[in-house]
Amino acid sequence: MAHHANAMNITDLSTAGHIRLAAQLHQEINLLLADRGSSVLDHPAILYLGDFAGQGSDVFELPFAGLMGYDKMVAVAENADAAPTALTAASPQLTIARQALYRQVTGLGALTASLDGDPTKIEVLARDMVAAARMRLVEMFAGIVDDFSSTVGTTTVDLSVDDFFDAQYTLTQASVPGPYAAMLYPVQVTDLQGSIRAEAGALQFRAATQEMLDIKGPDFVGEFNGVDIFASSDIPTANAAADSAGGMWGRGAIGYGDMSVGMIPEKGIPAGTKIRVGTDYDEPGDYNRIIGNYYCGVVECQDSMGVSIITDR
Amino acid sequence: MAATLQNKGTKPRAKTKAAAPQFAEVPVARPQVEQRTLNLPPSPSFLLKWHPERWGVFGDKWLPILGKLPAEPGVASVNKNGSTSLARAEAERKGWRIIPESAAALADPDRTTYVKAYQGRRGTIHLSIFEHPRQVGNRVIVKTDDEGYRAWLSALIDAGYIDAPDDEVPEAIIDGQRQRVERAIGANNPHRIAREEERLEALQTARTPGDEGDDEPEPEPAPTKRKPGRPKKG
Repeated sequence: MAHHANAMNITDLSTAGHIRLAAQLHQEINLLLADRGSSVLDHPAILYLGDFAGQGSDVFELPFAGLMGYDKMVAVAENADAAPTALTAASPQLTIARQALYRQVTGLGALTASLDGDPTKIEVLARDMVAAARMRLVEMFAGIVDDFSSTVGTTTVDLSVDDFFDAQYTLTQASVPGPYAAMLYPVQVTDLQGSIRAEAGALQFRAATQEMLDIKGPDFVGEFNGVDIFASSDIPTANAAADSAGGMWGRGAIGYGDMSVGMIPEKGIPAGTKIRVGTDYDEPGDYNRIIGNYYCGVVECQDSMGVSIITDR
Repeated sequence: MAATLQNKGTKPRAKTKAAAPQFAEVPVARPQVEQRTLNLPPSPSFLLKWHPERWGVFGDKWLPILGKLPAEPGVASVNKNGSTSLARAEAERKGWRIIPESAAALADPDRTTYVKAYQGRRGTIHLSIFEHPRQVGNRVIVKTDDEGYRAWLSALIDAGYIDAPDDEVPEAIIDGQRQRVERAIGANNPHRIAREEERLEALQTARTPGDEGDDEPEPEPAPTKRKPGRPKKG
């Protein structure tokens, strides 16, 4: 039927403006893209040094002793005195510092919330604090994988399978016990995948080789040659941003410690974490304040147990 | 009204100066989304450090691979206030040497630090003076001043902030590269063999800091002295 110019368009959006919303919110809140991978923290190659709350300081010396076969016995003649052997020890220092995230929610913001999981809801923000604390810890670890004095890779040259093997050889030659983990910048991971694709010989037939090429999300990207590989965009730059400084290490190379915080009456601590989440209400300003606190520190425990992988960014 | 009429035609009114400022200007308050801030994650200030074992070939020269000591509380012995004094001591105990910020003057006499800070969308961003961020669409690309950085590394060695590498360090790296060539030959991959051999040659021919002779051009042979009384040649 032809449209008549004089007909009243009661269903037209412009004439029905008073009974239509300018825009309607979709009933599902999605997350903005971010690197949210933190499972590297649960890998056994990362040493949890313990809870340091209530021990009188925020700086701790971590004793490492040369025992259990560090010094070997030596042959001594029957009638001679054995020479005393001094104990070798090291004590890297761990400092614990406060990490925090603070948000404010205005009264109007909270009153107009209509969806489940609305970011103005205190419960949602409290859960967010847990993720924020874990990602902060990942970022702190990323800051020390460049601290190893051993390095592999060539500046401005893409990471290759050979570089990966070089890193493994470095650890093997230093008698570093497993399990091994590697933390790489995402571009380093894709460079490695590209290099694996070009591999011939025995390597190409390994199941792990195929698995390494499968697409995955952020964080754990696969296991290659027995090393668990994690991708993190927090990996720092090296050589004036020409390169990325990832790393590979064995258990005991790097570690972290933290401090438990006491419960607060109204909100408490999200289950299974040591993050203190507190809230209060500002009457004159009419807003809720919510703050998450986490006390932690990361440290390179033994330099020779890790190797920095410095390749093109 | 009457006063206005009286003034009319009696005396020309003096022109007021349009440019005379009556109010002080303040910066235009733009919404945060319209401000030109760098879209990179915030990053802490840092110190650069050098370790005797960390060397690599940059172009045609062996130069140090510096590390970073981020001034982040809780990281690598940086204390709760961001002080790096304990962290520096700890790094030096592990064999690192901190490059003082004043060494930036070797690259630019007007600079007192090799760190520069930018306002970012989510906090302050700290980069080295050899990193130049550029916004391309929605992405930020950080370009590196390779030549400037390498020249600065060489200047650090010349000025004594960094020692020349021990002969063993480049030799160990070259030895590792020889093994990579062997592995490439074993894999029978011509492309890879060529690449690894090329890299081996680059390592072997790269100049080591301290080889002053390499930096200077070959001296021209001294002209033979003409004996008095003999005619000039040509």
